[in-house]
Amino acid sequence: MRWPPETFLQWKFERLAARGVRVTVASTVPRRKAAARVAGAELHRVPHPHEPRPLKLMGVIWQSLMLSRLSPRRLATLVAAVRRPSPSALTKTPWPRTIGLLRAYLGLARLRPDVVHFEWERAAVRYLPLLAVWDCPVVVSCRGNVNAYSRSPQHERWAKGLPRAYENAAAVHCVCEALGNEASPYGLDRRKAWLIRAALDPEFFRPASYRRSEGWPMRVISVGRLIWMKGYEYGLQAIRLLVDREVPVELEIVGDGEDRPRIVATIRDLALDREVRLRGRLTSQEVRDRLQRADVLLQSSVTEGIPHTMLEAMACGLPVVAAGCGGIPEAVSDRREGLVVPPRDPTAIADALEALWRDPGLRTRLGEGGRARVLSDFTLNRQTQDFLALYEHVTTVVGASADGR
Amino acid sequence: MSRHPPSIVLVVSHPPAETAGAGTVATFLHLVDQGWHAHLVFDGATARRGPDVPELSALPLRDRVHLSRTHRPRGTKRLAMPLGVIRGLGRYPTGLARYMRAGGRPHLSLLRGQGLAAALIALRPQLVHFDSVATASTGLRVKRLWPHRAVVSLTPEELHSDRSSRHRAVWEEADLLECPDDRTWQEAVRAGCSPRKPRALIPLPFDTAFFDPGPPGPADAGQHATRSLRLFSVGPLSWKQGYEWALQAVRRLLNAGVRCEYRIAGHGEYADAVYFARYELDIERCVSFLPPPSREELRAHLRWADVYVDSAVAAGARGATREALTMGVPVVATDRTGLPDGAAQGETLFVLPRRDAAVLAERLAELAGNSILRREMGRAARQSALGRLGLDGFLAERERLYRGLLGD
Repeated sequence: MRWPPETFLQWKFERLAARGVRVTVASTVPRRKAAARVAGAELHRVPHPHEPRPLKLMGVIWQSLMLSRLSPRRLATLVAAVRRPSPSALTKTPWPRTIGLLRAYLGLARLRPDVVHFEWERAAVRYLPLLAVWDCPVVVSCRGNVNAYSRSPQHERWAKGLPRAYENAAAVHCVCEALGNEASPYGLDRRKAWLIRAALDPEFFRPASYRRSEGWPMRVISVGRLIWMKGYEYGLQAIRLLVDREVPVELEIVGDGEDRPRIVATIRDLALDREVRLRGRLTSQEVRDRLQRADVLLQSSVTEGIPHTMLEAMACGLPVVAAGCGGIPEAVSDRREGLVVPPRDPTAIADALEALWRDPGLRTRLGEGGRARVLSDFTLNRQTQDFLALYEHVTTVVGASADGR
Repeated sequence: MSRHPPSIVLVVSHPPAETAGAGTVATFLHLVDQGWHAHLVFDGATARRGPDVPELSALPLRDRVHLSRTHRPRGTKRLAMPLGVIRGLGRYPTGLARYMRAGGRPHLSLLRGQGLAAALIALRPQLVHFDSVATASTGLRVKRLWPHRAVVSLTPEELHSDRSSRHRAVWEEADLLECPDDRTWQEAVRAGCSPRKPRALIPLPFDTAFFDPGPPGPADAGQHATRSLRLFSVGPLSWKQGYEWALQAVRRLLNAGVRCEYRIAGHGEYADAVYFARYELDIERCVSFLPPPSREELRAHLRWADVYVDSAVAAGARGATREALTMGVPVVATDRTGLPDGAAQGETLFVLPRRDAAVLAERLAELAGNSILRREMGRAARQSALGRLGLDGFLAERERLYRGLLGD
């Protein structure tokens, strides 16, 4: 995974470590972020894929020697697994690529964990050959909509590897029912699926201690990476509609990503330079402060699991207007915690925002409902217990049945 | 003409910008035919990721086509810099010194003779034509190294991008700016270009000889009632093309009971989003994605199509829209800057608001149910194209422009 991990994963690791679990995070650490630390978690550095070739080769030789001292059989199994043709190829992996892959795998192959947990499906597919050498149960997390990538030919290799990842996993963690349903056609055995909801610290993300002003314009906020899946363009169209209806509104977009040029161009094209502000990537504290000052969270995604930023906003007592895709309807009931609108529908988004602008009482009711929902269903304590139960299940029940075979 | 043939370098960004890049290859071939000492440089291309232009693969031309890519060394490769400096000094000692005095940085690519600046220094032409501001901003760094003239083509896409500082530097250095139409020139002036800057307005060509409608298709033969409406779009799978709205329009058409078949030709970095939209909207059966077409394939696709859909959300002249009009295919296009000059709303094409799938679907449904309207629009578009600047005229205009700049 990336380093430092996302806030929700950091919280998860901290809580697990506090309950006595030894957590090792494997990551390619960018040089500028090498100083970052996660309380309770050890870091295992995975060599960067763009390492110079001579260094890569020397690293492979050195680590092969180290692994062969530990277990020559593991080394042979790993090399055979890497060389084996992938599901999308008919021929064996060529040697230059084999060396590149071995550089990433060899260090990890020396680890002897009790459970390996891939927090993202993509990592599970990328590190598939390692499953042949680790004799411990593997858990794969299903956090994003599989279909968002698997439909494109650019990710064909990944989509073809997904069934093998699910097959080799002892359990698959899904953050919502919807993602489990999406993953089923890719080989997910529903008996392996464990539903463990996303979670956050409701003491950190809490409503503002001061009273939110009822003045205008209505402050709408969107938080998330600037990527096509977040559907910002539809949100911007909705803001344009509101401005045309003379509803005073401001939109603040927090986050950064590859879609920034598109969003900047759309803001300019829709003449929303005065109404929309791009804030870039902010720290968790800064995000919380912004959420506390906002009136509504807008989640205009076209595909999602359960977005953490939406839960954070709900925990801050903010009403949400969210597109009903993926797992969002599992976290937001329409007119109880927020307003759920069809995906890709700027008019529906604009109508929902206008309804909230016209009725401050509705904003308050939905905000309170959202906070209550987070406190009942999305707390870290509950999530930690669920993960401990999952790890215990795979190490005892699944591990024992594997030994029995 | 002077005793020695005039030398010119045409610089095309890779992949070529549609507005000017498509015409630049034709210009190159024309100039070679006319006896010019012409060279073509694809900026940003490598041997592995080079241009795929069959016309350029003929032997006599191959020596005149160059690939350049600015390569910034990272990590341990920087250690090779001193060697590169020595080599560069050996190859063009004064040129390199002057280049660095003019503000150029000694990238390894320049020193190894790979970058655009290096390619221009090696060729030392009398005239350089950049197909875009992007290529000009790199290539014009060598402007003061030897006496030569520089022409830069302005495109609506670039004028709408957020690179105004780069534009200003280019406008100051270039000897002449070439614009496809007066609107583009006015936008350049609004963006800060001096109105006194020498300019040339050369409309983009309508290649009526190549893009001919061919024999009457099934639509003309009255078979359209029994089959689906055939929609076609071409262009990279990028957000600028607005394919997501076109796909939503197709969904609406199907919901309204209008059968249709939609082909999109192109690759691009936005494929994930477009493929996902096709899946999510449940239109995988009637929407197919094809690889970027050659000119012949494009002509075949346009002959197949009943309607050409141009759903772009960003400014820019899409070459295929012009070619669809040339072939007499009814066009439904969005109202951004860069539509072909002379296109008349309701007569040769329908112009619709950007990002509006409902209106797009309405227009397509209207065209689906009215073959006479389709035929009339197609005929009007073809007539209009025949009366406009053709490829031969475009090439002659460009040659006249170059000769004028060189004082021939």
